[in-house]
Amino acid sequence: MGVQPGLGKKGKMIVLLLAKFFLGLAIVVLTLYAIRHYVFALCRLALRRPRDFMELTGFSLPRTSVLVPMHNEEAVAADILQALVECDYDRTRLEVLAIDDNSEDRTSAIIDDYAARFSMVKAIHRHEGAGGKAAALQEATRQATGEVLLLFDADYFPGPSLVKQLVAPFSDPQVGSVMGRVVPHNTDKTLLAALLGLERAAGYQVGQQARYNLGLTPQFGGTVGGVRTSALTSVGGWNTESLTEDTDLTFRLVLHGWKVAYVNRAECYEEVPESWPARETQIARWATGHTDCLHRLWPSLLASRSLSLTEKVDALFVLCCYLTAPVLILGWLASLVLFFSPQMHSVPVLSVAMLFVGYQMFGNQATFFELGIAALLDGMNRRVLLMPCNLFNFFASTSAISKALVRFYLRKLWGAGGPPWSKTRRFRTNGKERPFANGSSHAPKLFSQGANGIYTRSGD
Amino acid sequence: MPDVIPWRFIVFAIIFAGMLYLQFYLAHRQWRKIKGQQTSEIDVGYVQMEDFLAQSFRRKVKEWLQLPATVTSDRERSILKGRERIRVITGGIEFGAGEQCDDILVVEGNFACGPGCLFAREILVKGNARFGEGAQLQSVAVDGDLVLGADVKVARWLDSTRELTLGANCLVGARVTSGGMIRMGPGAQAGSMFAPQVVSTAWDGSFPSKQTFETAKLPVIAFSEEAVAARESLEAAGFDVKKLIQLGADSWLYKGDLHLLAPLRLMTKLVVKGKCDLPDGFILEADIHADGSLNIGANSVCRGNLISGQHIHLGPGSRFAGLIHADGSVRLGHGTRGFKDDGLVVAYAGEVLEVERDVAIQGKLAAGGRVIVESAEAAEAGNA
Repeated sequence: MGVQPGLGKKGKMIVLLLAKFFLGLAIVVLTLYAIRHYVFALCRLALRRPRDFMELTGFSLPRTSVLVPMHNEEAVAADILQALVECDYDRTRLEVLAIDDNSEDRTSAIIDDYAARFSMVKAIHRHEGAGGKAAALQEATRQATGEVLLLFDADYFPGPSLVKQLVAPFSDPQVGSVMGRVVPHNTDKTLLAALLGLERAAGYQVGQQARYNLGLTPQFGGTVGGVRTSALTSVGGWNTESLTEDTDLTFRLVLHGWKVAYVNRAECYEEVPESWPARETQIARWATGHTDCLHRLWPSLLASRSLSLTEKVDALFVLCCYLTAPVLILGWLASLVLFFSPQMHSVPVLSVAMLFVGYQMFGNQATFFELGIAALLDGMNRRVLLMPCNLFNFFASTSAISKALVRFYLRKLWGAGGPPWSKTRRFRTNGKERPFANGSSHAPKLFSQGANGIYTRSGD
Repeated sequence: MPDVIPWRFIVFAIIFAGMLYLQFYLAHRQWRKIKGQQTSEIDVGYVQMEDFLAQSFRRKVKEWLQLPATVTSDRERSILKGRERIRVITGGIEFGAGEQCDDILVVEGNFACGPGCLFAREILVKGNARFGEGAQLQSVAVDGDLVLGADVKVARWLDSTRELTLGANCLVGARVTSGGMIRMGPGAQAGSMFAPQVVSTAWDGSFPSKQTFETAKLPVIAFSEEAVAARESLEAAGFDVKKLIQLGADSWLYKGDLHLLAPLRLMTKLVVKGKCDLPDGFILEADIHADGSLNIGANSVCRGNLISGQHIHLGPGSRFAGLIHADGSVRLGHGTRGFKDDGLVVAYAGEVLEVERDVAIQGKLAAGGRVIVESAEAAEAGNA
């Protein structure tokens, strides 16, 4: 039985060598990530949070600018602006910069309406210059007057206390950026949305919190988070060339000596993709942006004096995470080649294959372990039963990421610029589908703060 | 023929396929259950409230009082809610020494109890309340003044709309909140204390005015590229200029331990990647962070936030106007005052927050472990 009919003896040997190399690479890389999943999940359970920012909420109120970039967001624009004008932050220290980024729908009119009714809302209209979120943020940052910039995507629902919760960590002068927790609200709409709900829970409840507990760098996600204006200026502002300006900023900040804080209780609802094409667009953008950051930042990360060895290793794990998808596919192809090769019965190949099988058990268990821990910590015990279906999400994501990275490297090879920024499709229709049972799309104002600082329920 | 049929393989394949099917069947069944159901994992209307436990109890009582009641005497009626009994007392009530009550109590007047009483459930008092020495309570919400005698033990929380006094060695499991003032007796302990004024034993009744917060004239240190390049003033102040790195326009990082000997007025935000000792009479106009312990000398003034990865000790007679936060313990020296013109202050310790005598703050004292007031013996020793 030959490997490839028509290949010479030398050719067969090269194919087999390559197959062994890729299989070995896949096993090593994926085993390292599996160990990382286990370590994070166990540390999340075992380690105490280093700092409870919730106890500090409301005691430090720096002047804050909330930036909301919007491109064709008529379906959701009014909801986020309404939620922000109803938040319980000191009005004299808060401004909301609503950025209409080349919208072709009613977004501009909605923003103007809010700016006319609420003095704290400022409308910014962009009709020229580079498009994309980072460029919109760059423009808004120039006009912002806050010491702290908070960011929300237009499809988010900030609760009344969220601004206070997110600015609390900035009381520490070494904190350059803060990340809150994202919770999908539409997990009941499709199976994909439910699975992404589990994935987000694992990413935030376990991944981000464990990284913060371990003194590593939680990732600033570009929404439900913020950055200190002076920190942003010190690293040269937003990178308008990056598709994931948030990841790019996270690592530029830590390279400069700033820290990123994570507040698990600063929760905000978001809308996750309900269809596979929307999910593919989103994850392709993340994969391309992340990998692009890796190529630009890895030399500085390795050479950095402000990062410890574990911080450097974790940063590389974060930036390389999307590369695991093509590595996994190569590993599968390599194992197929080896399975049908004459060396199938040889001891080294068999042991490698066994290791690969071992990974399939160990690695998948590790990922599922993290998902399960997150679901249990969130009290979503019954949702753990959905986990077997995550296999579909896993295969679809692996394929989408691999395709995106092939396109990315081909563009790099041909010297073409980066792909254009693509917006994730929204599934909400304003006024037709309200996400909350109270009939409102924004957080209801339940409590008001008295002169003594104590909150009382409105109407009591 | 029977020898040819691979029974073992068939059985294995059926069991394997069955197990594979079962997990997808359970997943699909679960998906059908949650499909179309609104998520309720978080409360979007959540607002950070210091007195949320008491607020929640008061709301529940309001609902319970609408339920049908049985009149048990001319001054008392009782409401059954599931297996719980709520005793509603019209007017005031006084319990004798050592009495016990296992029901939820709603007292529409004043409340008093003698020493050693035991109340196993929550109490809501619409007037003033006074608990005798050694009483044991679950939780108490009072729409007036609340006074706890010495050695009272509270399993959960306390809340009063006016003045709240914790007797010597009182122990409260969770939060103590007041709309007026909290007076902490010697040796008292709680999870956190929040009020417009929180004072410890031997408080002299004074709160410095804005004028008294004005500070002595000291050499001013503000880091800048020029100042660091010039070196002299910074080196004279005790900084090793080689260890200073600019973080941002208004913040600098100091690589190593910082031990200053002479008082200064520090205007720039500073991150110390080690231990930080500041002398008596120091003035901090901006935030400071130390990875190690942060010790601030007596009679210092801190207008910025104080953050430490380990412990913070604020020397006697110091004043702070920001936020104090240590991952380890915090000790507020005697005579410390915490206040600011436009809001409340907070001191938080990941482990224990120790409060010496004559400490007064406007805001919150909280700890991951306990807030502990200096005991009478320790205070006496300190005085001596």
